[in-house]
Amino acid sequence: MSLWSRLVNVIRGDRLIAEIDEELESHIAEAIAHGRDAEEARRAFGGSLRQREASRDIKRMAWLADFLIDLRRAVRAVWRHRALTSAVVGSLALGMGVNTAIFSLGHSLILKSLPVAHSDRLVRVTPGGDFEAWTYPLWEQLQAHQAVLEGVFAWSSRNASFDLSTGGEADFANGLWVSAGFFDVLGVRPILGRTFVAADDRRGGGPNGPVAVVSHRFWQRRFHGAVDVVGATLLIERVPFTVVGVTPPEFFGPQVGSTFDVAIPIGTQPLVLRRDRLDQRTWWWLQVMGRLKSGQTVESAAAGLAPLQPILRDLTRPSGLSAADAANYLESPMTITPAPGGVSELRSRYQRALTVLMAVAGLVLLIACVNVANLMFAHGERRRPDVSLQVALGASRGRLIRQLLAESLVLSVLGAVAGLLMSVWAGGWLVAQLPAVNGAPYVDLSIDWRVLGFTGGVAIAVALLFGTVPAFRATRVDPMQALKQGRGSVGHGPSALDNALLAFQVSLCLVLVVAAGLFVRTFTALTGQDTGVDRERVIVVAVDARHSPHALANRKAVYDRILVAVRALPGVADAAYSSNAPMSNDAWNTVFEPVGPAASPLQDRSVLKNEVSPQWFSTYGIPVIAGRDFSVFDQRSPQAVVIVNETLAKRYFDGDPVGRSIREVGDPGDPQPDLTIVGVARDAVYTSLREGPPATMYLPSAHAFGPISVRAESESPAYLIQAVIAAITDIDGDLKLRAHLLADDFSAAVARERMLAVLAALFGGLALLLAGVGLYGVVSYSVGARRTEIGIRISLGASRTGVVGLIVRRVAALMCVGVAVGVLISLLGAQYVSSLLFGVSAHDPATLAGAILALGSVGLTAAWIPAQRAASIDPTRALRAD
Amino acid sequence: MTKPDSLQGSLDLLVLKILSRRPGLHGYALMTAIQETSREVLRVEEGSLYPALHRMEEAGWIRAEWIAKDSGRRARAYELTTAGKKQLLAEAARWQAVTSAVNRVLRTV
Repeated sequence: MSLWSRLVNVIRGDRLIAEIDEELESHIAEAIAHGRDAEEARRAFGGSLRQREASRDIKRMAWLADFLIDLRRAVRAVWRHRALTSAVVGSLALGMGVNTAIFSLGHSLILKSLPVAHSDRLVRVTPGGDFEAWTYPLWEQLQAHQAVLEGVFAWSSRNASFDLSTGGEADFANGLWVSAGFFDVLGVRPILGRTFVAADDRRGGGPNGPVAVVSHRFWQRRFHGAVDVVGATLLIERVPFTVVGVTPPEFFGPQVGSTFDVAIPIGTQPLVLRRDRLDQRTWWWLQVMGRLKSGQTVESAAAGLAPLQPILRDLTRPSGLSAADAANYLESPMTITPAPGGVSELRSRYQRALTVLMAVAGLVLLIACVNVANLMFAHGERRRPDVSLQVALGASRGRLIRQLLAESLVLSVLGAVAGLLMSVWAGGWLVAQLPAVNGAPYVDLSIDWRVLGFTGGVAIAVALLFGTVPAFRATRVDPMQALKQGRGSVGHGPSALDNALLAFQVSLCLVLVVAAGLFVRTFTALTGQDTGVDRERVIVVAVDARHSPHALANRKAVYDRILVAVRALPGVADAAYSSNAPMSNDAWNTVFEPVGPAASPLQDRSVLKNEVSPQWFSTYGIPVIAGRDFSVFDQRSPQAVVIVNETLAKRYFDGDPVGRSIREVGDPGDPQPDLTIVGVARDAVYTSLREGPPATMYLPSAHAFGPISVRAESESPAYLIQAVIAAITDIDGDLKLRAHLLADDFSAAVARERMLAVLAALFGGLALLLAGVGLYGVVSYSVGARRTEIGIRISLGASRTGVVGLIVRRVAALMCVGVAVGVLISLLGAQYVSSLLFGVSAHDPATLAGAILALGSVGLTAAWIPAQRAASIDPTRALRAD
Repeated sequence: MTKPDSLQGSLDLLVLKILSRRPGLHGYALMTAIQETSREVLRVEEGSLYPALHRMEEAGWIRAEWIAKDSGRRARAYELTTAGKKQLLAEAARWQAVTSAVNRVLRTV
């Protein structure tokens, strides 16, 4: 008989029994016909029931049938004890929901491959050295000369926020510059039309004019899924592009964490950006990936590419490199790394944070498991009489344990289902916490088999974790004893196992509270530090002047008129412009040298620089502490001036630089003018909140471009944005503007830390609550079990405080053990989180002490309440009860 | 679960052997056949026969089909499968080995 028929027999048990009975009856009838006594013939079979059972167990998978019966009973039991069920399912759902949400985010961001065929053969190619990105000339050479990989492709999302409007208010879409082979080599087949061919990627557009491929989402959103989208015209930066294809819905682009709307060939860049930057040998903006040939290893591909390296380098060497940089450029080898998951900035930034969160969420689930195990212990005690009866009737212990485990499994699966639902919501929240990389953050969080497998695995593990020990204990009964004592039985006091579980819970809880403390302190340290700029009052307006009819040289007059108009607005305190805004991810660096005798022996004179208009410092609330601010004359006069910040002044000029001269180090044969230091500005943040203020020099802006910054008279200046935009548009309607609050940049810069702090604090609080409730439950239970003993103590003259002390002391001893273990775990785990911290050491004693204090007070309160109740036991009543 | 009784090894052998000679016997006929061919020495209990039959069916050594009897009742008729034929050879060889070993012991001691 096949496995299948046995499985079928499990389902159609009744039919099977009927067939077995028929065969046996037929046998008996024949025996009688041959003259056997009817009674005797029947008796020869022994108990017919047993006969049938024996045959039936052979004919089907007994264990599976038993399991189905266990499950059916378990569902009934779970339904009967609804109060317990909801408590258990609730806490498990919370734990599993959080775990599933974090896992599915981590899975999508870190583990999952791109949804393309044979993603295991995708590799990322970087030009080596200090360079992550490629220049277009370098990419052109690679594409033309390489024959090692099956194919290579390049893309970039830099300067790819495309305006699709015909004029007036901008309508931005997430764009992607891609090489001709992008879709083919990546393995993305269009669901409509075609993708790009080599001719499309010609400079200035292919034979069919500029063409575009759109994503499924964009197709739905903008074209409402119309089939005639192929051939439709899409205006990108006022340039008409012909849509030639639509990508499948699951393809979100090569960058996990963001998504694209429109992809256009790199070769169309001169049309879109209005100037040809493709030949620039110092503009590092392209990402390059490739596909290995079938069976090819990364090592052999790297070895194959190595001889190509010097040729590519030599053909694309940027001019004006210093000798050291040139050597670095010529020699650094290309690297090939496996990239089945594409390229992701978010991934590298969040990998460690998500791992930590996963661990933390796992601990919360463990604590919840311990609590649920405690609930199940108590539940087992109440059910002792039932179990005794079953044992007395001959049920084997193994079978009873299986029965109880089935109940745990049902509870756990219910929790998992609820948790899965919760994770959908929680996952959405998590994604919303991610910073925007290229447009709004996008992570495909659809529940796939791996997420389901994770949750299912967790559910089974959880069921075993919280179910095994209570099941063994609940079935350890002496039927005679238990039946005799009936419902009023005296339970056991807490066993060594209970104590160990409690101490374990306390130690896990301490780890979580310490983590919460560290991450919250990191967040407050990052946000609370003095950044030197007045972040609450400033609006930053990014300006795109590509469509402005004014040439760059004439634009300063326009900008100056804009500043006058904006400053005149009610509520505006000041306005200025600069080449870069602080915290905008844009920064320039330079190397300077002092004019005259060197003031400092330091070799490293690499500093950041910014070009700012007059009143820029006051707009950002940065005081000029020595010398003076720039004036409008500095922008015009030939005598060059510079303002430096405190750090630069201290590091290179002993704090007194005003009047000294410096100059930037230019290329050989391109001397830079001497600059007189006219002022010292207070240190202010430029790019990173984590590194202190960098040495910075400010030059008066000779040309007008870059963002316009507006200072409001009061905090929360969001209401001014409309008026500012209107004022600027009045002056020049061809400028494309995007305004945001400086505070938002600061907030985005700490998105990861905020996520960690919020979740760690939430989990820490949850852990405290769970541990408190758990302790309270166990102490209450043990006090209840020891009523008689306590009654005797009191009647023999023990004081009430003595009784309280007796109980609290025991809990305190347990907590000490737990705290000691917890401190040990925290110190061991600290190494891993230290790179995520700021302004606080991973071994910070104050945080540890605070956590111990918080946990101690919660624990002692949880013990004190039932202890107080025990002390008020009336000895006469307690003794009479038995 | 039934405990394997001492006769079980030989019961399988007997059933397989008889079915190899006379395929299509049902349970009762098998029982009487064992009784008759052993000249009333060996008697199989119904309580052992049917579990054994179902177990061997499960193992794939024999297969069964319902046949109509003269009495109008249905009975399950058993016959050997290919695997059963192999099993018969193996069981017979084992039996020979065991009995000759036992005989040797009886002779020498």
